Amino acid sequence: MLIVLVVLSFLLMTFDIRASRGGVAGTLREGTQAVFAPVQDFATSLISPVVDFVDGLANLAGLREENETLRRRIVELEARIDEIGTLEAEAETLRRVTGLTLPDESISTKNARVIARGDNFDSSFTIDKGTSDGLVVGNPVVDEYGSLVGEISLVTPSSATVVPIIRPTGAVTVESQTGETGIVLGQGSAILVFEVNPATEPVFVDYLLRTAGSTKFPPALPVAKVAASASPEAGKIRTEAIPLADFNRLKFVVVLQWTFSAEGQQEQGQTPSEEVPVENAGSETDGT
Amino acid sequence: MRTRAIGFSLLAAALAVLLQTTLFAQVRIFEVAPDLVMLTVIAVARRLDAEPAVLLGFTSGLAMDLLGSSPLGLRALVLTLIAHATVRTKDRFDVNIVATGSAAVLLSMLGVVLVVVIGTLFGEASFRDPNVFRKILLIPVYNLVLAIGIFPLVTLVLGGRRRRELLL
Repeated sequence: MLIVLVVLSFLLMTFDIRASRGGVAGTLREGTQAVFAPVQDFATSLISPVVDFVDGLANLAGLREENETLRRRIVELEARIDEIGTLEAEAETLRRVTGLTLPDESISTKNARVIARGDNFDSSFTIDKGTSDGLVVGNPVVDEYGSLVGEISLVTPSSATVVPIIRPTGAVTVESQTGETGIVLGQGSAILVFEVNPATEPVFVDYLLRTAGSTKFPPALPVAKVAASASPEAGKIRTEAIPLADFNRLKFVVVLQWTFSAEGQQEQGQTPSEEVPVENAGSETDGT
Repeated sequence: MRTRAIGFSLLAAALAVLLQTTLFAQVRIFEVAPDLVMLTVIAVARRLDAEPAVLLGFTSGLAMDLLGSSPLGLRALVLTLIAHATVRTKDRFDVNIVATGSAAVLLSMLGVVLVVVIGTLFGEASFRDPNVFRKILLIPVYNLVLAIGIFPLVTLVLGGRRRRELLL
């Protein structure tokens, strides 16, 4: 039995990768997520107060020296304040999401809520909008400030999976403040690698990196800030950048109903004409 | 009893998958969450025969694979191996509370390392994650904390006639 299951697992992985995360495996994923998404949505709304409470407790570590009675009282009050603060922050986030202005105002958007995430080694997450809301594979996703988060890699009628740009295999073509084009590469955490090749100008801390416009993302979306200054060495720059989106705290996102067309114009609600394989979503250098 | 045990195992696994993808998606201490699915497989596999144990590991892992975006079969493979390792070592670790806790830590660590290594071999580039060592160290610790509640609960339901003799 063990050998059968081990062999079956290897076969599944091999077929999944060879079929570009599409085919039977893709259909299975879509089916599972379509069934599970409403359950996850319901569970998320149930556990949100628990999460807020845990957040509240985590913020109270500095009060341990207080006497027990006072500490309990403070915990209670702080938890309440934190809950209200969280609600206010959530309301503020929603206001920002609904009032978001994009560089290209002609792009239609769809607001969505994050309802589930992968485990420690899977930075993808699931949102509560899908094909019935007009989303398609390849749609870019931004946070409430308009900063690039990632793109949709799989979509069901009621949910979609977003692969973030921090994924270790992710890459985005960007333009720095110097006007030079480079790429930011995901590392799986909140640090990106920024490469410019060929490079002639140095880059400095806090230089803003925006999407350069490609087959995967529309131009001028803020992506990251340079974290360490660097000068060209042998005509090349390689330094660190910090993404503008806070991937650990994302609760709401905005999906841009944008896909690339060969004529260089956006298409809405259609499959990209220069199709990006689903398994490589977020794993290929866009447009390079 | 066997049907009840399998039914409970599947229910526990489904609940673990649901909590892993919702609750622990938001509760992350030092950017790391416990691996509840792996811990549940370890806890339940200790009380099952070899065959249902590895099947449970495979099913739980496959569910996680289907709900995520990593290669289909990666976690299925890892949790199958972890379930097998649990069944093979349970007699050595079921002697006292320290040994049981050590088992939870070591098997969780083995599972995380397997996810990283096999994931890297299949193009996930997990080793490029700067937090990889933090995850390898913290997930087993978090799982140990959760094991304090989960192991006795599973023993209570699946321990059979021995359950009163077993503390964990």
